[in-house]
Amino acid sequence: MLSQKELTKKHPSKFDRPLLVEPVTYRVIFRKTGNLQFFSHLDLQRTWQRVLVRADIPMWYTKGFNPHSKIVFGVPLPVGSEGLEEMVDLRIDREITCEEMKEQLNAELTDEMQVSSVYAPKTSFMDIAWATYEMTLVTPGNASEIANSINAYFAPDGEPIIMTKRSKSGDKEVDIRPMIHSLKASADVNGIIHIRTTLRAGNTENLNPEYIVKAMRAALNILPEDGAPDKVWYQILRVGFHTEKGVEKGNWFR
Amino acid sequence: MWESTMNQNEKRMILTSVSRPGRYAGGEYGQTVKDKKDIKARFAFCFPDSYEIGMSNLGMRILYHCLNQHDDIWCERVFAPWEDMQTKMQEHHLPLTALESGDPISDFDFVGFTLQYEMCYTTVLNMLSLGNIPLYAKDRGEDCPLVIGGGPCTYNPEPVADFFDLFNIGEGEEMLPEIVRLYIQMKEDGTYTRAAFLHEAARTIPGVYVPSLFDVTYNDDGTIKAYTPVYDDIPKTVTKRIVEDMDKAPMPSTVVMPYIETVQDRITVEVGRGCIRGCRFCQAGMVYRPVREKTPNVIDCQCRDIFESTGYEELSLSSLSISDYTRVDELTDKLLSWTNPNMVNLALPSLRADSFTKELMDKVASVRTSTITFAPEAGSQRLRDVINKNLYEEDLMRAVNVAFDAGKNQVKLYFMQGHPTETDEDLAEIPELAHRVVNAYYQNPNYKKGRPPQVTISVSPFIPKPFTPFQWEPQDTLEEMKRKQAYVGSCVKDRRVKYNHHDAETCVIEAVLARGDRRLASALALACERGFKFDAWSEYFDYEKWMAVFADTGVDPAFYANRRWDVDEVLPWDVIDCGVTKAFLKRERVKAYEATTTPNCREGCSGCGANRLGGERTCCPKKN
Repeated sequence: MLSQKELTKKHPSKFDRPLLVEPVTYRVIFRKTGNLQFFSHLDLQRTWQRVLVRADIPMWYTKGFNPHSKIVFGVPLPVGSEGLEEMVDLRIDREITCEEMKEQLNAELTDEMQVSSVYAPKTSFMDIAWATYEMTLVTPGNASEIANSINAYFAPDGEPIIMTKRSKSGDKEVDIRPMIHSLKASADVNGIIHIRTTLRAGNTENLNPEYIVKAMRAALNILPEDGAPDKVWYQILRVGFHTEKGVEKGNWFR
Repeated sequence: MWESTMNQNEKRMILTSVSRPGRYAGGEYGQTVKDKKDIKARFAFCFPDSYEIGMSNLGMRILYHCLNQHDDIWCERVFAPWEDMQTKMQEHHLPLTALESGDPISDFDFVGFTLQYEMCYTTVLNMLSLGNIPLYAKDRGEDCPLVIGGGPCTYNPEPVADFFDLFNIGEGEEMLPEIVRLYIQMKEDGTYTRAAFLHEAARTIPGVYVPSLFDVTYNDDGTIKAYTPVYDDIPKTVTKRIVEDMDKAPMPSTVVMPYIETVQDRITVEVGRGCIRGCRFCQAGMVYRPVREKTPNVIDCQCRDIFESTGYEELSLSSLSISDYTRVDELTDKLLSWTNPNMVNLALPSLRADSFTKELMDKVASVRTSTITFAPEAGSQRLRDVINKNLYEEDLMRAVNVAFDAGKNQVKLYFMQGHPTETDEDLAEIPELAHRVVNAYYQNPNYKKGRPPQVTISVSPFIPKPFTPFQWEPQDTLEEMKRKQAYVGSCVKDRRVKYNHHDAETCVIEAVLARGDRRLASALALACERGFKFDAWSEYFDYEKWMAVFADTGVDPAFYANRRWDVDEVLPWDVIDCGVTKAFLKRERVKAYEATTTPNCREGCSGCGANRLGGERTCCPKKN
C-alpha cells in the first residue's frame, strides 16, 4: 500500500535514483532565524538527521556495523543568535540536482529554516577564520553618544579587553581584542544602535558575539541586566564567514 | 509564546535568560497555525508537566489532530514552565500562554488538561493560577474558559472535581470534538450560558461527567453516603466512551516535531487498546477493556505515514502487552520490510516473558542495547498467582536464556512490594529469583568469561487504584514500606544483582490522591497556594510539606491510603462506569485471597462486563 506522502510527492523516491560511481558532497546554505535561535547546535544536528530522511535525500551511509550518514556543519551558531548563511555539507550517493535538493528540503522545513542555495563546494570549513555579525541593541541613554563610546572602546589601538572565557579545560582569562577584526557601531533615527563586527570563528579559535555584549556591559555600563525586556534588548545575526585571506578584502567564504 | 503579548525582541531577552529556551519557543515543524478569524472555538491543550514529557505523549498528539481536523476549531499546546521560567514570567507579569499563537490561556474557550498521573495535580492548579483562571469551577464567570479534563486519572477525578467544569470519561477521539461542537452550536443559536452548556453536555454527550451536577453526602464515619445528580435528565452514572473500531480511530499522519530532545522522541503507534491479562493490581488492564485490535495493514500504513512525515529513526509499537497482539508476526514482517532499508529501529516495549521468543527477539534485536526487561511483579509463585500475573518461573528462565543466547548480559526485572497477603518470605524470593537468573547466565552456552551478567531488580510499592480488584486493599504504612525495602536489600547477597527501589513517600501521596474524594480539594488548593508543582519530580516533591498541607486542611491521609475499604461502601468513583463491573472486581478479589488465577480473555471469558461497550476485533463479543 502506498503511504499518503508517496501519493502526493512530486520527486522520485531516493531508491529509484541511479547510484553514483563515487559519493559526492553538496553544501547546503540555510537560515536559522526567529524561534530557531533558541535551539542549540545539538538540536540542529538532530533536526537535520530527520529533515534529510523526510526530504528523501539519498544520503550515503558508512558501511560499518552501525551505519550513519555524513553530515558536517560549519561553525556552530550560539543559542540566542540568528544566522542567515548557515552551512552544512552532505555526502550523497545517488543522482540528484542541486535544485531538486533545495526544493525537497524546503518542503520539509519551516519558514524560519529555509534553504537558499545548494552547490558542490570547492572549499573546506577548516578554512573559515572569521564571521561577520550584525547586532541591534536598545538601551537607555543617547544612542549616538553610546555608539561613539562603543567605537572608541573597541578601536584597534585600545587597551586589552580581558574576559573570562569558559572552555572545557576550565575558565581562562583572555584578551579578546585580537579576536575582533573590526567593529563599527552607529545609531539610527529611532535610537536603535547597529553594530557590524567581524570576529574570530572556526575550530581553533572562536569568539561568541555574546562576549562583545558582556564587554560593553562591563566597560560602558549599558544594557543593564535587570532592565525591562521592552526597554533593554539586543539581537545578534550572523551574516557570513571569511577565510584568513578573504577577510581583508571583505570576501565571503563560499 | 507571547507573540501577541510581546514582540520578538522582548521574547528573546526572556528566553535567553532561562535554561532550555527551546521549551518555550514554539515554531516547530508540523504545528498547526490557523487564522483566528476562521475560528469559532479555541482549545488550549495543557499538559501538566515539562515540554519534554508532554511532547512525548501519544494521547496529546492524537487529540491535537482530532480537534484541528475541524476547520473552525483551533487546538494549541501548553506545557508547564520550569521554575526558572515561572520566576521570569512572574517578574514581568506574563501570563501562561499557548505555544502556537502566544495568546494567554485565559483567552481560550476551552482549557483542557490531560491527567496522566496523580502527582500532576498540583501542576494543573499551578498552571491555572499562572493563566489567571480561578482555581475553583464555581468561581469562574461566563467569560472564563471552560476547564475540562481527560486521561487515565479521570477514572477517579474526585480529588480535582471542584477545579474542573467537565471531565471526559474514556477515550476522547470522538467525545472531545462533540463537546466543542456542542459549544459552537449553542453559541451560534444563542442558547449558551455556562450552566446551560454543562447541563446539555451531561445530558446529551455520553462520557461527559460534570462534577457540579452531582451532590455528594457523607456518613458519620467519613465514608461516602451517596452521589445524587441535581437533574433528573442526566445519567446517574457516567459510562466510559470507547472507540469501537480501532482501525477507524483518528490517527495523525504528522507529528509536531520537537527541536529539543524529548523523553520519547520517536514514532509511536498503538496496535490496539486493552489487555487480555487482568493483573489484579493493574488499573490500565481493567479500564481500557474491552481489548480491541487494529489490523496489521492499518498499523503498517500509519507507521509508514508518520515515518515519511517525520524522518524519525525509531518506531515503537504501543500496547499494554505487545506480544499478546494476535498478529504480531505478520505485523513485524510488514514493518521490517521498510524499516530495515530505511534504517529505522523497531522497538517493542512491554514484552511479556511468557510470549518472548527468539523469532520476536531477532526482529527487534537492537545492536545498541544489551539490556532486556521483564516484569514478574512478585518473587514467589504464590504471590504471582494472587496478583493473577499468570507467569511461571520456567517462562522467565526460558525468556532470559533467549536473551543470553543473543548475547545480552543485562536483565532488568520489575517487582512490586506490598501486594495483599504478602509475607517476608515472598519478598525474600525477589533477590532469590534474580540470583537464579544470574546462574542461568553462567549456564548458558553463550556465556563469555570476563563479561559478567548484571541483573537489576527494581521494586515499587503497591498503590491501590480505582477499578481494580485491589481497589479496597490498604497500602502498607510508610514505615512498613521502608522496612520491606530495607529487608529486600538485606536479602541481596549477590553482587551481580543490583537493587533499586521507588521512593516510598511519593507512593503514599499517590495512594491518597488515587482513592481520594472531593474533600481533598482544599488540600490541593492550599498546596497550590504554597507553591507546590512538579510533584512527580523528586527535586520538587516534599513529603513533609504534603503532610503539613493535610494537617492544615483536616485531611487524614491514612483514611485514604492505609484503610481496608469495605467492599460494600460507596466509592468516590462509583459515579463512573468503566465497563468492568464491581461484581467482577469482587469475584477477582476473592480469588486473589484464594491464590487462584483467572484465565486471560482469549482462553476464556470471565465476564468482566466490558463487552457491554461493544468493540471490533475484540476477543469477547458484545453482550447486553
